[in-house]
Amino acid sequence: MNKFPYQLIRTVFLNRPGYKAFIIALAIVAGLCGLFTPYYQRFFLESHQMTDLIKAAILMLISLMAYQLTMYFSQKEAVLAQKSLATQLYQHILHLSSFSKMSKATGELVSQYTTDIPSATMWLEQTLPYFLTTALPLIFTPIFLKITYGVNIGYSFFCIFILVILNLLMARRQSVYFYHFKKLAAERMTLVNEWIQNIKSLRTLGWIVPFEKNIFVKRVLETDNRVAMVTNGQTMNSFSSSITFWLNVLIIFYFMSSSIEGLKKEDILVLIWVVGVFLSRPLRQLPWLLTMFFDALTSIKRMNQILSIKNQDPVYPQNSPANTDYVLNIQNLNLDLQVGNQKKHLLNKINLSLKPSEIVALIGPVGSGKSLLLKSIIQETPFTADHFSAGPAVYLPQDPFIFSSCIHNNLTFTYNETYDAAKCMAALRLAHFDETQKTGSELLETLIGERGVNLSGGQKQRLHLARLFYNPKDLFLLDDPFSAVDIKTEQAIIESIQKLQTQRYAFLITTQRHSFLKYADRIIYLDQGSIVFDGTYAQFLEKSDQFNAK
Amino acid sequence: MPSNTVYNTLYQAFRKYMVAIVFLLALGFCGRFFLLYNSKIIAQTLDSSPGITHELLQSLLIKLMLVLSLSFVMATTFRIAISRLASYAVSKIYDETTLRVSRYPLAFFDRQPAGKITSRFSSDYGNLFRLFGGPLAEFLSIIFDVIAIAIITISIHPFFFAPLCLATLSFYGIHKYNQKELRRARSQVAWLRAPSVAHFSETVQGATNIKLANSSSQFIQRFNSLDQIFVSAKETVFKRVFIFSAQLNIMSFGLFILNGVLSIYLMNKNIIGIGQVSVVLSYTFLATQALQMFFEWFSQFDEAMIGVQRMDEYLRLPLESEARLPAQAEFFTGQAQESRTVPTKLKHASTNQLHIKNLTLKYANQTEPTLKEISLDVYQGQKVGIIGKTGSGKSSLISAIMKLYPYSSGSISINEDSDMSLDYYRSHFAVVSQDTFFIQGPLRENIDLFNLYSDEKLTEILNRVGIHLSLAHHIEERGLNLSFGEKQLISLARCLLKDAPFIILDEATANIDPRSEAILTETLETALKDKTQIIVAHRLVTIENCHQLIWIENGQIKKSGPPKEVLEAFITSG
Repeated sequence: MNKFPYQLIRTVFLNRPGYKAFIIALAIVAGLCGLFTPYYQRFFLESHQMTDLIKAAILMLISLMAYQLTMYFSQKEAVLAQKSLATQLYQHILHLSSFSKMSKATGELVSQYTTDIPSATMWLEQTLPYFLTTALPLIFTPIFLKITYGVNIGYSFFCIFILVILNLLMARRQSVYFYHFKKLAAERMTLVNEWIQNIKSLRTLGWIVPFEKNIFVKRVLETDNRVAMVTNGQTMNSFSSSITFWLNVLIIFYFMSSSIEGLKKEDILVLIWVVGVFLSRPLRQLPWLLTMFFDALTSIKRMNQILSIKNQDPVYPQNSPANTDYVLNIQNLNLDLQVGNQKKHLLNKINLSLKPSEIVALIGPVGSGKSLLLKSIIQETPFTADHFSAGPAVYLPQDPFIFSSCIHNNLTFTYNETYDAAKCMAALRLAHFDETQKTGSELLETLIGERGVNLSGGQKQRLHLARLFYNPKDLFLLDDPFSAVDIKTEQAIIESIQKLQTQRYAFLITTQRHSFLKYADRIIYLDQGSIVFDGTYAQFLEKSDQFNAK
Repeated sequence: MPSNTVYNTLYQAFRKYMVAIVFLLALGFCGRFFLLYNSKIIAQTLDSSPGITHELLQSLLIKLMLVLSLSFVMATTFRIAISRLASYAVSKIYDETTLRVSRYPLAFFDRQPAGKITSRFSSDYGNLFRLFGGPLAEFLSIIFDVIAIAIITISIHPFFFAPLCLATLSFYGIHKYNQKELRRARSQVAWLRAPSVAHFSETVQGATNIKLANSSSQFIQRFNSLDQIFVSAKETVFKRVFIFSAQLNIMSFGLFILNGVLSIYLMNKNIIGIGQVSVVLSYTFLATQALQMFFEWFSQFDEAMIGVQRMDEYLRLPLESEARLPAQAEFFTGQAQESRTVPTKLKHASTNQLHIKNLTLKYANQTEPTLKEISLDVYQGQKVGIIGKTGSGKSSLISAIMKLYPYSSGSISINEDSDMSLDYYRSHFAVVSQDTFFIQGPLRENIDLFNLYSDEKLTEILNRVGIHLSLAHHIEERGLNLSFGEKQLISLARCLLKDAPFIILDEATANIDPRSEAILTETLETALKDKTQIIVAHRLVTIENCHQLIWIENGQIKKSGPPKEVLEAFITSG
């Protein structure tokens, strides 16, 4: 599952290679011009000539500008990579079945988009330009010192090596704190979300105080981690922002311990400029560069983990002939779940078929596998079966799905601005959607969700149902459609279902309401994943004592 | 621009640390000053001698080592201490905001999307926390650097004061010129972030349906266009930062030349040596970098101030009526506060009566009142049923009894006590309703968040309501892995634990399976028999054995009295 993230790294680094090469060229220009600034400044100190001053100043300007451009173009590339990763992630998550991503909470997936993608592309946005503008000067400087002053190249590189190692250690520590910080913040925010969204229930329960306490516990953990993190970070910062002065000391020490014959004051001053000024930014950047490097690595790993989740698909003989008498025909369907060393049978030897125009009620105690059977029919679970054929289906989950847009968008399931008002209204009426406040296009263009009106659970359910009626398919799979409606609405919806029944649509409906059973052609009773009864309402009534006892 | 209250909030957060802060600032400045003074020591030593000797280098080395070690210790102490202290101070703002938001009227939550409120605790706090953690020390260090550089440069020769003034003025000008655009671009990014995130999070939850309807491409397209808008805004920020920095670079180029020319003049007059010139020129460069960073941080702090301001707004709103801040709250923001810590388990009187007099309730967004002139008395041990059509005001009456929404006139009280604090008042009720609440976490936390009871006691209660899950059983967000029946039964378990004088059942039996319903009814008739019960139902069977039945229509009591009479009238009315 956790193979090396080649794909991701390629997206981040190797798209548009021409641009990447251009960025590297810019960084080289910035580095070289930056180094030659003090070289010309030395002439100026000797000659006191205006022309030498201007030469040095222009080199400095070019160096600064090239540095800014390196940053700017890297950021542009980062943004492009970010966009491409976001699309990749979103597509992948939409494609995953609910069964495959069961263990991932929505919040975790969202944090991939909001946190991990930006931090993964930090490699481009900051790390690459920082790396180029940090590493190049660090490599150029010893060479420059060797050529111009004959400073032992081993000595310079040794100093730089020690510096990098020190920074590396501190950066590694910092990134561990940072990783915890993100984790703790995410945990705290899960609580904050629950707190805000359930404030009414919390007040009713009188649970405000303990819930606040839970938030505070997380907050304190986060602060403590933060404090440890800033302590390490500030040590690192203090070190890197005074490092040039330590290097000055090293230079003087170097000259003290070697021959000083022919050494001029200008030489020392230029050297001090090189370390004190030219290297000051790269050295200040160094710890952060390394921290970001580790951080991006964590994010890339996390993303890779999600992106390598494969859908667990159902297994059944693919080419068995479809029997047109049935909209649904299943033989010997099994669904197992591996819990530790044990195999749990979620669905057991299910044989089930539905003909057009048939209404089948699926009932059974809590946790008997009703919802799971519906999900299996739309191939969202990794079941196995000897035979499986299903016509086109529409599905109403227990938790209806409504997205923030107009009502008509929610019906057509598109973001189009044009719509067939008559068809939309017909679907809403079939689902008995409330139109007491508004009707017609005023109703259809009502915005729902974050920036519009909030719908109650029942209204959401009916709107989702209306979507199914808007674009009906041969088989309706309805998971507890009457759970949030009153008796009158229930009656109206049953009438709509009966109307569609005459148009050859078939229905498989789970319900807790036994009042519905008399409208069903067949009743199926599921217990612990097995069908224990399959027959008519009349037959069911005869045996009903046996089932009500459960 | 931030209002005065923002500074007051910051002051309250930092109040405890004032003396330490003053001391640390002084320490930090000295640290940075002596660090920079190193260059001056080198220049002075070199300028004071005609040539370079071993002795000269040796004395220089010793001086440098001394000054450097001292300044390093001071600067590091300053950085670490100020960052830690600021982290604690800013966390205080978080806690105080939480304590208040918990107690704001429900209208506050209805008026604005949840995402907007939570963003105060995620991005605004995150920003604040981040900036006051490390960058504050960095920012202050930069300010110290700029001041130290100015002092050292002027001490080399007063003439350098002129270019310095000029530079400061022009940097300020460039900053002002760019600030508005930069700020706008940055707030655009923050603003345009939300739509793509909202789309992502809500549609991910509907992936099954999107896939089944073959609508993936539609939703991906939508996501891409929203993400593109956000990403373009980000690009604009990068462009603006580039323009700003380029201008600063050109400015520092000018300053470098100006100082160079001045140095030529002073060198030719033999006023300063090349050592000093070198210091001036390197400082010109360093100062440019420092100022650039200064303005970069400045705009970030500017943004963070918006964060403080946004949190500050949430510190100073009126609480819901009759609510009080807990005693632990430390900021003074003008709301009512408990004088001492309230115990977790509140004691109630042995008999309790609920009195509702002439109650009228109107929601803020509605023109007509939802409840009109309702009067009702509920006595100890009574069972009161409430019936009415959907939308007649039954649930609003329950909200009113729980004092969730403020009523426009009339009164509600227990035992005619009008001084009861809101928390104490609410503790008299236990509610089983359709919108049950679940926390992601173990079942134990979901029934006993206070952690008041033993495992045995909790298991016993769960068994009594027919829930045979272990206390460690993991509940998913919003109780997604529970059926309606289980949710209701767990809610009932909470009710049994709470042991409140009043039990409210708000359409509790509406959607549950027969087994759960049987358990619920049985529990009401046995364990909760002596409690005062208020039952809202649309299945009329559940309320047949009430003492009193209230029929509500259009927010008014249409009829009340013995169940038989009222039911008959209700049924014949159609």
